[in-house]
Parts: sequence; structure tokens; C-alpha cells
Amino acid sequence: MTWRIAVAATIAAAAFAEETKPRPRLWSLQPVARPVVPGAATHRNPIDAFVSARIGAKGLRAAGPAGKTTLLRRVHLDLTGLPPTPAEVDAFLADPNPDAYEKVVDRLLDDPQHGVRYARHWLDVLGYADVDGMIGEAGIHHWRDWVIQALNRDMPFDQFARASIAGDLSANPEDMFATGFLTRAARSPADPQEAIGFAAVENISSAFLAMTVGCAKCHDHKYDPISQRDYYAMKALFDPLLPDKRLLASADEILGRQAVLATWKASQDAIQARMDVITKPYEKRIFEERMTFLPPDVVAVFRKDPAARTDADRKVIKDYETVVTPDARKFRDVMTADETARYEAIRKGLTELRRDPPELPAFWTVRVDPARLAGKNHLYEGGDRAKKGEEVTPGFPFAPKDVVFKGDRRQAFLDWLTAPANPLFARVAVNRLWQWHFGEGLVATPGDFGLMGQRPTHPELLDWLAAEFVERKYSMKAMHRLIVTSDTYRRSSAATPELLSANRAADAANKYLWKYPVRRLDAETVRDSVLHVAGALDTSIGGRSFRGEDIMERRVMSAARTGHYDTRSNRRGIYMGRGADASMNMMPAYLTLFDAEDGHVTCARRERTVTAPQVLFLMNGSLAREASLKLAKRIEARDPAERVELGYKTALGRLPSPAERDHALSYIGDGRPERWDGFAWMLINLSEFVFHP
Amino acid sequence: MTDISRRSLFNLATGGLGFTAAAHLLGAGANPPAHVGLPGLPHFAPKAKRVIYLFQHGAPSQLDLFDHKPDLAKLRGADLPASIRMGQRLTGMTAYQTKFPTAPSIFRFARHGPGGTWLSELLPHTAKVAGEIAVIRSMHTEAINHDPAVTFFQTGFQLAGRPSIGSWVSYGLGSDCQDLPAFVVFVSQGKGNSQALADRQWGSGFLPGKFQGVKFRAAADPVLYLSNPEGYSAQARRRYLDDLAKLNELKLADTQDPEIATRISQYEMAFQMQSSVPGLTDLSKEPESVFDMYGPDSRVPGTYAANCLLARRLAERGVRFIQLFHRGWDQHSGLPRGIRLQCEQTDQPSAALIQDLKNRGMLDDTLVVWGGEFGRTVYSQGELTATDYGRDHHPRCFSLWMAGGGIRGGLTYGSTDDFSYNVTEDAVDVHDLHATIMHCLGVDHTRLTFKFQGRHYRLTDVKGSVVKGLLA
Repeated sequence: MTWRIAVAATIAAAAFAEETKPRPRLWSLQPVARPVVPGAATHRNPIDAFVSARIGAKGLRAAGPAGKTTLLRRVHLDLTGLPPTPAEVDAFLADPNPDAYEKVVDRLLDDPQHGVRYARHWLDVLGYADVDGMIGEAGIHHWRDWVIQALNRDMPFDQFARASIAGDLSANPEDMFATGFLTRAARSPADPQEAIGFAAVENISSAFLAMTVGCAKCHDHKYDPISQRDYYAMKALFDPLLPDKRLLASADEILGRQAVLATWKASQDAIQARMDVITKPYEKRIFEERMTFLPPDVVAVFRKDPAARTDADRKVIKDYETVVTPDARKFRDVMTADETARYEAIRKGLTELRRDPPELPAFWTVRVDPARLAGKNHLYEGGDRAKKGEEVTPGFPFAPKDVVFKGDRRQAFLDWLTAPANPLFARVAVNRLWQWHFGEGLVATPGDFGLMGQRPTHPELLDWLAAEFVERKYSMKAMHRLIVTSDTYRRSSAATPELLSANRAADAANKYLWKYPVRRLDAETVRDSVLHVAGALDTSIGGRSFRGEDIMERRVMSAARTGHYDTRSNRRGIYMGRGADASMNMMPAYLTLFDAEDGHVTCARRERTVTAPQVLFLMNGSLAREASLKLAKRIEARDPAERVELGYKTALGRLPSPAERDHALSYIGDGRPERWDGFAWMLINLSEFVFHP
Repeated sequence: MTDISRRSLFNLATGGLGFTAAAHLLGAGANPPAHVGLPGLPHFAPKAKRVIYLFQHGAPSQLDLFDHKPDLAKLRGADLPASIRMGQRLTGMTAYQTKFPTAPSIFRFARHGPGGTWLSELLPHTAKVAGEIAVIRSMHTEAINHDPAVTFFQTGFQLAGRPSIGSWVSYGLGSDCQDLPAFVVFVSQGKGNSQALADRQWGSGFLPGKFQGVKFRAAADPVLYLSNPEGYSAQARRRYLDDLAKLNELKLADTQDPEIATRISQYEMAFQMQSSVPGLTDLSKEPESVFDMYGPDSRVPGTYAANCLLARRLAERGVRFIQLFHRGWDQHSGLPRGIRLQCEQTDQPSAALIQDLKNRGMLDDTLVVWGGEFGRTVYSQGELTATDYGRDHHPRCFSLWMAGGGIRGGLTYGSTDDFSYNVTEDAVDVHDLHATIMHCLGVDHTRLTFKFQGRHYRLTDVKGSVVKGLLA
């Protein structure tokens, strides 16, 4: 009876494996407990208490406070993405009040450019692209603009998340635009219904939960407690959704639409008819020619009276149809040179016309489809759509047992997501805010709070910030204010030899923030800064994107695909069109050069490379060249010394050191104009110009 | 170098010492743009000094190029036996199919070279250098979709974030070239279905930024912003850069930040590239015979052929790792037409590169690798007709060739089953390939490591063995 024993042993082993399989206890899934602030009395801002405690525990020495001008430049670049103007520098230096810095912070948080700056951060996290084969490309910029406005209005973060995931249900009609986050995924020709669900699971879990739920598409997550069922349960929340086009046109535009379309269609038909006249004589000939290549039984099927064809015949016809149908390429092979020339000339007109269909302004949002809502939801074995697995009911990873789905399925998920008790929602968000202020998050893997992600460097501080975020009603501006007014944020970034030797062994990488971290500015901020110091930046907000200088007008940002683009290329970098395409380049070389992502997938943290082609852009690029000429003209002053000072103040927000002043003056010499141009060039090429100070 | 000496050298330069010499001294003294490599490397005498990696992006079909399966003709249209497929996963693209009709290659194969290497009629030029190349028919990989599969080939790991092979090599071995980056990348566009190819594929991951690949553009102007603005001479630019370096170094002294130091060195590299790149890309002195060898495309900037020629010119200048990506091999449908077009663009220049290196005596110390990120299925994706078929992604076996420094030419290595579905002999995985490339460069792949976040990382992760059978 050995087989029975073997079976019994197998069952026992299975049961044992089931019981002892350790369920990973992820730190990030433990409840947020508001920690006691260590030595609170000695610190004005609790952030500093947590950071100092860690610095002390590691035996590190902290840098002193940053100078006033460094701090002003830092907070300007951070909160608005633009360097301070000389007037702003003067005003700050002249303000002796102890709260001068806090006043600057308030002014910057109220500046509409703050929303522009932080929208760019969030759009990386949410995966914005102007072009990516999406069906809703033509109006997608409304989503970008919604994010800018939401941040400027300080929309509470729970509402921000709700609108992004279910803006179509919001009482505020504007929130429809937030669903660009969902419809972004509806790429044609892949079926948009499934695409929305798949992408929603992956993008929502990475953006708002920092969990790689996407890994559970084909099998249970290898590391984190996320089952494949969880994945498809979460997908079931979005399965009822279909992309839905909403016209943004006026009544007159809509009424006139039919006539406009009819004209457009008629013009195409007329052109096609002219082409047919040329190709008609060849059609029959090509068909007969191709018949000679085919097996006799296939030819026989083609020769049959169409009415007499059997199902099997029709299958044969279908198989060989592509072989016998001539296309434009084939016609070109057989037509005379003269005919080909005429044919091509006419065809060009058709291509042009089709490229520019008369589109009404519209935005693609989502709607709940009753049939899909009533349908069953299934898991796909191995992530394979052909292999429908077990049925799943709506749910989501880490869901409590007693979730009740009433009304729209997304509501129950959003209630759980944004609840103060959710251990991930606030933690993940404050970690991002921290990252944008300091370059790295307290958790260095902002998109992965799972087992394969990094552990927080300051777990208590992360929890305290998360608790505070809830306490402050998810106000992002309140958190920005709290963070940038801390001493930690205001520390100097300079590392003296003494500091370096004291800290090298324990924390050379500055993980524990004994100084403020220096880092290269991102793509948009470099470009915005160059234009801004030249006085050439158009800071108007919202609207269609503009085309990067090397992006082909026709191919990429054509009217048919994205709506008419903006012609003002001196706008802020957030408006520079970007995106992905399998076969052609949609990313301006500039953005790629400085590590901006194409938005095809969500990006939790950009690379920050420093390369020779980047410096060539600032050395020789026409944008940098023109900007330095403008900057040289802008810094007119009574005498060379003053002019040098004004140059430093404009570009770098500070006065030159005596050594720098002397160096500049000796370089400028007799003050020929090209020397001043060179001086301006040098200012925007200094490392200091492209680094967070 | 101190302020004074930098400045005074410049003055000397304008006074007659000779601008180039001064620039060289300045460059070498203050911020040498080239990296000398790690002490102790190479670990042993290298066979190859540099690598030219011809990445065929999109995954060429082994069945139509290298892996000859004459018996398949008899099975044309027959469903792929379940015993072969063994329930292996398929991509989302063919998973819908209910039938998996066997699609033998419609292309003729013949044996070439002293080793009798099987090659299809699509590779007439490669056939002429068959004696130089080793075809590996038993490659396999873990990834089934393009991006993770390319990431795996580039970094030894399917998830993004680790250093690419070129940056490992330039980190370990440094550069033999002062005025060009140690790791240069070209991307050319094929005529077929192309997949996204992210710039991070040649990133340096956690290695310092200066080791990342520098991508040259597919254009007459392969590096943007190379020319000085009108009215600026190289001499004027040199002077600006010297002033700039001085000011930057004043600031660097405050922050002591390695990235700022990297940036200063990149100005030197940029300056060097201003003079080196125009010379590199000026093909006017190449004789007619060279263009004939590489084919007419080699006169068209940005093509694969032009890039192959540039690769040879970079190799001559001592660039350590040169990587070409040619896109468009993703023939899910219309494969016969698609692969023919791809081969028309790639066969002649790839073979010309081998022959050209050989003529110059450089093939002995240049390792050339040709291959994609996975293979393609024996069954047709979409309908199989008399003249047409498509092939889906197939990671379980595929072919790749190597040639030059350290590699035994004329070799066919490994084999697959009758359906080119599974490896049957001498399997080579991606880590093994990496280990072998490193070996040819004189590097023990287990000893080139970098400590990051508390762990020692290496290109081959915890795997990889040198494929001894490939070595000369």
C-alpha cells in the first residue's frame, strides 16, 4: 500500500507548507502610529527632532545653516521651479524680520507657478504623455491642467486621489479631467476596455500604494502578500468602465459639424475617384497575374461564382485575399512612370487631407457601461486573456474582510484607500513630497514599499509625517510649508573637509541628511531657468503642449493626433510635448538628454545623469546661446562691477565672492560686448546654475 | 591643478606654446576625462581590447537565419505537437490562437566557410565571413517581452536599474581614448515593426554617471550642439572653458559633490568631443572601396551601415564599448517580407565590419557580438499562407553570433530540437554570454563587483559561466 502512504505524505506536506509559509510582515502595512517626538523641547520643528536624533545616534556631525541667498534660491527652485529675480533677492536680504523666510515660503506656495512645478512631479508619478497611441490624445492636456489647478487650490490629497480614480462621479464637473489618469491607458488598437482595467490596477497601485501589484498579473506576487486573485479583484473595480468622449465644443460648432465632416469626406472621395481612374486598368491584370502563382485548387475557388462558394471556400478566399489584392506599392511597380507620378501627386493630397480631420475639441473620460457592470469578472491564467480562469468578485489587495460594494465599485475602494487608517496612502504620499524637497525619499524606492523596496531611513519621521498629513486634512501645501521651514531643509549643502572626514565612515552618501543634498536640476527646471534669467520665459498657465525643436511637426504632434499644438516654444517645460511610440521618436532630444521620461509607464523617480551631451546643450545649444545674449543685455548697470554683481544676482541669486568678481572683471577687461556675452554664457554654464544649491 | 597654473598655461598657449598641447595638459591635469580603469584589471591577459555589440532589437528569427530545420518542410501547417510545447507560456499575442501551425522557413539554407556553418540565403554577406564567426544556436533567456528581455541582456537583470554591460566594462577597464566617451551607443531604425527602446538600456545604474553610454544620434550631426556658435573659435571656447572650470572648481571646493565633479569633467569631455567627433564622422577620406564593402547605405547618416562604419572608426580610436541597436526585427506578421528588408539593411554592413576589422588587423583584439533579445516561434502567428507567416516571441532558444578577439571562428555551438523550440545541447544563457564577453576582455566576471546598498553587485548577478567551447 505504498501509494497510499505516498499520497498521505504529499497531503501532509502540502498542509504543512500552507501553515508554515511565512506571510511577509511588511513594515509598510503596519498601522501608522504617531510616534513621540524625541527631545521635542529642543526643536522648533518636529522634523528636526527626528533627523537630529538619527544624526546623533549615528555619530554624525551636521552642517550649519545655509546662507540666506542659497536658501532663497533653493526654496524658489524647489517650490516654483524658477530661480529668484534680483528684486526678490534684494527684498529677502533687506527683510530683517525673523519670519522673513516664512513669508517667502507663503508667497511661493501662493504663486501659480507652484502648481506648475509640482504638477510635473505628480504627472511623472501618474504617467502623463501627450502622445502614446491613446484614443484620447487630442484633449489630454486638460488632465495636465487639472493637476496644476488642483495643486494651486491645495486640493486635499484624498480628494485628489478620488478625482483621479473616479472624477467622472464627482459633483464638480471639472473633475472629469482628472480621469485622464484612467483613459490615458486606453490605447488603440488594443481593446480599450481591458486596457483601462489592467493599467488602472498597475498605475493606481504604484502611484497611491507604492505596491507592485502589477507583478501579480500572471501569478501570485513573488515577494509581497498580493495574490493573483487580488489583482483581478482590483481589476474588476474598473472592468465596467469604457472610454467616453465628451465634446468641449460650443453648440454652434457641434451643429455645424455634420456639414464640415461631409465636405471633408466628399473631398476625400473625389481624390480617391481620381486615383481609381488610373489604377482600374491594372486591377484585373494584377489579379490574373497572381492567380498564376496560386495552387490550382485555390484558383478554382476564386473562379467560382461567389454565390456557389462553400464555407471552406470562403476560408480559402480569406487566406489568400491579401495575396491577390493589389496595394499602392504593387500599382507603383506596374504603372508607367507618368501614371505613377500622377498617382502619387493625387495620393499625397489624400494623405494631407486625412492627416487633418476636422476635430471638435473633446476630452476622453470614462463611463460605467451597464452591460459590463452586469457581466462576470474573471482572472486570466498566466495573465493570458485567452485563458479565462476562476470568477472573481470586486476587491483589492490588503482589503479588510467586510468591504461592502454599493453603488459604483470604485467608491468602496476609495473609502479604504483614503481612510486615515490606511497604512500606505499617507506614508506613500509624504514620502514623495519629501523626495521632491530633498532629492531622495525617506524610502529610497518611492514606487515600491514592498519586500523588494528599501526600508525607510527614518521610519519614525515617516510615520510622524504621515500622521501629520492626516491631521492636516491631507493639505499638501501645509506639508510643504512644514518641510521647507525645518532646519533640516535649511542646512548648508557645503561639505567642509572637517565635516567630510567626520562623516565619511558612517554616512558618506548623506542618507541621514547631515547636510542638504546637492543634485542636478531636472530637465524642465534647467530649461525654465535658462529662459527665466534671460527674461524670455512665458509663464502663462495651461493649454496645449508645444513641440520640441527636433520633433517633426507632421509625424508627431500633428493636428490629427493631439489637436493643434501651441506655437509658443518659450513656455515652461511642462508644456513641451512628450510621449512614446513604438516606431517613431516622440521625445524631444532635450528632454531625453536630461532624463525626463516619456510617460509610457509611471515614473517614481527620474534618473539624474550628468553627461557630456548635456553640457554641450548649455555650451552651444541655440536656446542657451540666445538666452546668454539676452541675459548680457538685461544686466545693464552703471559700471562693470555693478554689472557683474547684477549678473550673478540674476543667474545665481547671490553676489559674487571677491575672487569671482575680480576674475569676472579681469575677463571682461575693456568691456567689449562679446565679453559680456561670454560672461553671461559662463553664468548659465556654471555647475551652480544647474544644481539645487 | 591650481588656478594660477591653469590660467598661465592658457596664456602660454595663446603666446605660442601651441593650443593643443596646452589644452591637453589642462585636460589631463585638472579633470582627466578618461578613466584609467580599476587597479588589478584586467585580471588576466585579454584577448579582446574592445567590444562592438550589434544588437538586433526586436528579436530576429533564428529559424529563418541560422537554425536550419530541413525536416520541418514535411510538417508545414501541422499543429505544433503538445509534446514540444509542453504548456509553455505564450505572449498575449498568440495566446488567443487555437492552432499553432508549423511554419518552416521559406528561405533556402546552405553550409558556408571552413566549419560548414548553416546560414540562410538572407545572409549572403555573412556567409562570406562564416569562417570568422561562431554561431551559438543554443541561446536562451528568461524574458518573453521586449523591454525586460533587452534589460536582461543589457544589465543581467530583468528589472531596470542595474548598470549596463558597457558601463561595467568602462568602469572596470577604463578608456583607451582621451577625447571620446568609453561607451558609445547608436540606434538605427529598421524597416519593420519597432518596439520602444529606452535610454536607460545603456545607463550606468548605481555606477557613477560618467560610465553610462553616450548615445550618438542617427543624423548627420550625431552629437547635438557640437559646433561652437558662430564667431567662436575653438581657442575662444577653450578660454571660456578654462575660466568656467576655474569658477566651477571654486564652488566644488565648497560642496565636494561627486556629481558636480563629474559635470566639470564632462565639460572637458564635451570640449574634446567638439574636436574629435567631426573627425570621427568625416568620412570624406574613406576610400570608395570601403563604401562598397559596407554598401550604399553607409553614405547615409543614421543607417545601420553608416553606424557599422562609425563603429570601426570608434574602435580605431580606442573606444572601449561600442553598441549599435538596429530596430525593426519584431515580425509578428509578414515575416518573410520584413526579415528580407531587415537583412538587406544589416547583412552586408555586419559582414563588412568583420572583414574591415580583419583587413586592418583589428579583429584579433576586437570582440564582435551580433544578436537580439530572444528568438521567434516555429509556429505561425496569424495565418500561414503559401507565401506568408508571422512568428511570435520565443525565449526558449535562439541564435546569436560572436567573432573576433578570443572567439573560435567557423564554429556552430549548441543545438535545438527538431522544431527549434527547446535547447537540446550546450545551453548558453544570458549570464553565460556576459561571463564569456568579460572573459575575452580579461575580466573574471565574478570579481568585477560594485558595492551598493550593502551588497556587492556584478553583471552576472550570482550566475554565469564562461562558455569555454566558444574560445579560440
